[in-house]
Amino acid sequence: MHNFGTLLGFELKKLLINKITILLLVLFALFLFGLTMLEYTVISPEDRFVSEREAELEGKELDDDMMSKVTEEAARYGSLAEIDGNSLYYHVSRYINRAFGTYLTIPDLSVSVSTEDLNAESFYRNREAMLDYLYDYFQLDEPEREYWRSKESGIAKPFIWFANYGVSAMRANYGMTAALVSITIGICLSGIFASESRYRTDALIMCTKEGVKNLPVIKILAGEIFSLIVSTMLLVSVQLPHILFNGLHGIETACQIIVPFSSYPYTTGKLLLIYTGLFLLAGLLTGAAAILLSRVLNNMIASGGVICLTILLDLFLTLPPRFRVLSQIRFLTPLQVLINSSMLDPRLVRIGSTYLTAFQISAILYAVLILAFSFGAIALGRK
Amino acid sequence: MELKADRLTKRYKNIIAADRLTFTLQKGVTGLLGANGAGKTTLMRMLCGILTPTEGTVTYDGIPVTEESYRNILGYLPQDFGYYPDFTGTDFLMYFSALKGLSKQAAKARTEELLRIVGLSDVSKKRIKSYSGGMKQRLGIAQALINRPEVLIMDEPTAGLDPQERVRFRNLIGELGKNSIVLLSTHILSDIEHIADRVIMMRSGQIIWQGTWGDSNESLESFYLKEFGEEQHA
Repeated sequence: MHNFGTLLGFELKKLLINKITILLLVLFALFLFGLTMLEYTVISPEDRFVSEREAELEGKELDDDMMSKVTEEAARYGSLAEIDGNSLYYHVSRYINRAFGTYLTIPDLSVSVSTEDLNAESFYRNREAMLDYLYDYFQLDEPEREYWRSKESGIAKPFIWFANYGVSAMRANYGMTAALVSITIGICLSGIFASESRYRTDALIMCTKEGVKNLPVIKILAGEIFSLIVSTMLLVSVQLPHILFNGLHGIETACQIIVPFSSYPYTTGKLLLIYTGLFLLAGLLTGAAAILLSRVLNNMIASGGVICLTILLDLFLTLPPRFRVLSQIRFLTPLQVLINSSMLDPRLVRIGSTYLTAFQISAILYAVLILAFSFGAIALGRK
Repeated sequence: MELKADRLTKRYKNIIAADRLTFTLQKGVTGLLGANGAGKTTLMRMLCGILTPTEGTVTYDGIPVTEESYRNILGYLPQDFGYYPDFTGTDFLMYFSALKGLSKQAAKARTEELLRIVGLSDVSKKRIKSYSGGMKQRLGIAQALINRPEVLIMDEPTAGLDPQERVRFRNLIGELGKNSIVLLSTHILSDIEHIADRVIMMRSGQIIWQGTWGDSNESLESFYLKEFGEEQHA
């Protein structure tokens, strides 16, 4: 292939000098950066840092001693839920509440939180009961339950406490940022093929040596590089303030501190890495879909519109877990996998004798779809 | 060096845009004449290999025009020349040089040469969207010449140029015809009279006359008006 690098550079230039691209990128980057900065500087800076007072809890186990102190604090305030930000144990008490499912929006879930018998044994027992409840809710079969129980047994307990605002917020950012990334990519790449018809350059390109066979490949590569640039830029915009203010505090601790109903034997750092990988793959997937749509529909507004509509449907369309297969497939979409939640989808996919988690099957699925969409766009682009 | 169309036909549902067109183009300038809708652009697009004929074939020295090797020697300027508004003149020619397989060094030299030939050197770093219609047309001509084509197909290349520029480019096209096959579609009969060795006239998708114009004593304009007068007055 002649002039690969030169043509790739020009295709990237076409994408990056587009006014809509520049506007969307700057607007979303400023929005995400500004939103996080505001949290640290204006909205509630007191909740964003580990205070000197709270530092004494760092690295402490969530054991009988910690539970008894929380119980004392709950008695002083009236109940566990009433402990407020003035208390040293405010964040720990909120975590315990979360571990009892207080903030879960699952129907028919009622776990009474009594502080009278709160101790390490009851805390971990209740958490296991919650996990069993969720396994029922997601209609896991026995081998799937066994899979998670074996993972759960590998998690060290008692959990080690650490102030987790930074890493928690970092994880929570992936879903919303992925939605903005998808919108940006969907709109900006909608013209990658369609704009050639709009600018009437398609006939000129088809009369060139490299235009028919090789340019579609180069356009797809440029589109995917663009997707990576957009994904990285917006992710950095939203995560940078956290890293600046909190560093990567807590990344070596078990992920159960930020995702209580998970039996993944991961550190929070590894969980964030998985989210980052899936986030980038999701960007590439949106890019490949937008490129294919641009070629198929040959209309910038139509292809951008389809992507934006799909994102909206993905955000708001729900499917109860009782429709096990459909629901499991539906929740493998990038936004659903990356969305902020106290639980991570425990439903597994069995391939032969191997079980794949939602993270693993999503990564494989996205990679396969990226290749399929790309080859589809190449085949159509050469016609 | 021979571009051969054999019973070339293009049908769109009930409309026949090109009807069994057979001719051979050789080195020199061939003028393509016909009223609007006669099928000239359809014919040119089929000759470029970007429109698939319903029937018939186009070959260049025996090779089908859909082959990559043909595109390597082809230059095409469509009637509605397209461009990237935010590219500079230099960017545009460098991009098409790369698409036509020129190395970076050769592309740079050829781009500078062509910008000089078409008189755009002084605005080469300006965005195309700031160019006048005539400047854009000159850039289009430059684009068609990048790979020193053996087959040059130009659909109204002098449209939008002022009289002085038109004469200059007419002469340039005439020069190119000495070494290449040039097919030139235009409504400006004097251009054809000055530089065309052969003329093809089309009406309703059919060739109504083809031959060497210099053989006739009659002016092209009066011949054209005689042939097309009825149609244009209808």
